[in-house]
Amino acid sequence: MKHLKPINLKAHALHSSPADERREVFAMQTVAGCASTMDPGWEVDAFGGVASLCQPMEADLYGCSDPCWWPAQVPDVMNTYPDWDLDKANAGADWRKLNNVFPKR
Amino acid sequence: MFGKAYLIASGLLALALSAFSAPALADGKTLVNDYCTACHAENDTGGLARISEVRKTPEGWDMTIFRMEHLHGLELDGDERQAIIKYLAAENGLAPSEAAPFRYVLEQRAHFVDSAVNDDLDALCGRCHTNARYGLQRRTETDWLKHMHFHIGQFPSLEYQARSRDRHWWKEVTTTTYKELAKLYPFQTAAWDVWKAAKPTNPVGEWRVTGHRPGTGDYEGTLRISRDGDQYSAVYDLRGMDGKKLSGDSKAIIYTGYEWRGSGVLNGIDTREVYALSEDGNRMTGRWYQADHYDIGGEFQAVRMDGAEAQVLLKSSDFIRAGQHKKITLYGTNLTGKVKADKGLDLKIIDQNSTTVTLDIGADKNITPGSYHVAVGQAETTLIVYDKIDRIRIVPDWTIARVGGGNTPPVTAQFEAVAYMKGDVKIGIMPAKWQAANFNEDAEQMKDVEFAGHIDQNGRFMPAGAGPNKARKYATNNAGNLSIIATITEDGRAISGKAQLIVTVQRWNTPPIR
Repeated sequence: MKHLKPINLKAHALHSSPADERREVFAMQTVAGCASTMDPGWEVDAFGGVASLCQPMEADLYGCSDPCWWPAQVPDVMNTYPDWDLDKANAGADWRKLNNVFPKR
Repeated sequence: MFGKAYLIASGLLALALSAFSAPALADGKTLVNDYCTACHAENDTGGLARISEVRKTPEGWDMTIFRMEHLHGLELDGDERQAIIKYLAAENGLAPSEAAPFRYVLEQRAHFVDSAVNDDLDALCGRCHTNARYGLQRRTETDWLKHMHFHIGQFPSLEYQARSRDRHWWKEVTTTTYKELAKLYPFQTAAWDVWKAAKPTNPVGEWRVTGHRPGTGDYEGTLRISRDGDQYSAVYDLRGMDGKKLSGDSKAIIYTGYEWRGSGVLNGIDTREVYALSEDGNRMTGRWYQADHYDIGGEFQAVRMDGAEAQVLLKSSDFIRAGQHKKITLYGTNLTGKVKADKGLDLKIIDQNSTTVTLDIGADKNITPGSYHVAVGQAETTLIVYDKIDRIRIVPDWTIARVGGGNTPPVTAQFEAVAYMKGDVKIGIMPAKWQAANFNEDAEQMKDVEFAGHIDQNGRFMPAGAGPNKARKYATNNAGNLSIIATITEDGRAISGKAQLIVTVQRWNTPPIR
């Protein structure tokens, strides 16, 4: 790792933080159902904040949901919900049309 | 009367199994044989492959049936679906003691912090979904292994997700983890054998209800349950501590002999109920919540009136300050006995009947602060007498809210200020002045507090709208990392407590067990 240098803010934050602040154990303190320790998490970043999340999330939404990065939070269109984003190609403009995937009871 | 929906297409979450108002139900066993055997062959023990090797909650079976519909072409109407879930939850459900540690997920507690029995399970399972999700399942060892294979089959990109590569995860889950899960959550248990053989209890009758609505306050009253076909009808007559009525009714199914799932209306608002009957059938506890907002609801406790012991279930206030007089009402059952209190408290009975005792209580100004007994016959309770507030703790002290918009309603966060006196003795919930602030330097730079939402003076944080916000740096979402501060002023002295709130993005994958 010593030959690698961070080139963006998030990488810099990870690089400059003391190892014991990198909260691998954060999942054990996470509100039920949140993904945090995936890097980045969906709701919470590895530092327990939001500054290192992909945001606005709409910019990355399909790039990450297609390969089911957060399959428990965001419907994966690779295998499980292939039509979730049908006719909603531009997440930045179409996010209002996206539906929840478990049926209404 | 019943809103049958719990929110999904309109945006929020599928939260619990609702009770359909359908009449007679088809026989669940026949339906399972009709619909499931096309794929699930009979196994060596006379059961059906996979199905007979798994036990789950009604919500767990609901999710399984949904997956069969969504991915494998199963087509059921609402009645058939309900009958199958009811049958499977009865035949292959969880004993009350098996579901007990994980009720927070079933009850849709938005602010519960989840944990695993060890770091490995937290990393392998808890990174994506709650630890409760597998904790609420029982499988044979063979089936836990199949469950690992299911994951990689359904979500093949698990393999290259960033944190998957910190361990030989596939080797782990197919050699050790499945065996660990089979030991922790085995298919065969004495608890289930005993529960399945037990005679079901009958909830019909009058119940004494007490509860708490975070941000609103406590409530009390009665509940009348009657039989309605193979379901139950409930009529609520409740009242808040401020005297405001909270009334309505619901219709419920009892799954597995104790899992009460109701759909109802309270004060005109559609609700869902997730309660558990105690094993003796004389107590019911859980949570109800708004059908459209699982984050807003109430703690619920009901005690069967018939044969109830003398007990205090709720007090209009848990505390009194030294040197003060206060009217405090005790709510419970069989409160007909003589009222007495520890020395230092002066009691006057204003009103007494079997379910309610209203007292005028005075605490001597020289009384030693602490816990004091008050008894009504055999029913005992305690009041805290305090001299001054030492600190404020905000509950919850760490939680999330979610921005809302489009088809996804916001998820609010409700905070309450709990006062403590010296010695870390809890006094109780008190009204406070609420404010939000940036949590750290990152939040300061991004001006999170200006964009993420606002907190009202009941301690409820309402997040801002979803979507990219061009007014923010990078057009980022209205997410934020905030401090929530509660301040109580006592004798001109301000005492504050602090909590952390992550305001984050919406989610679209919203099964009843996250």
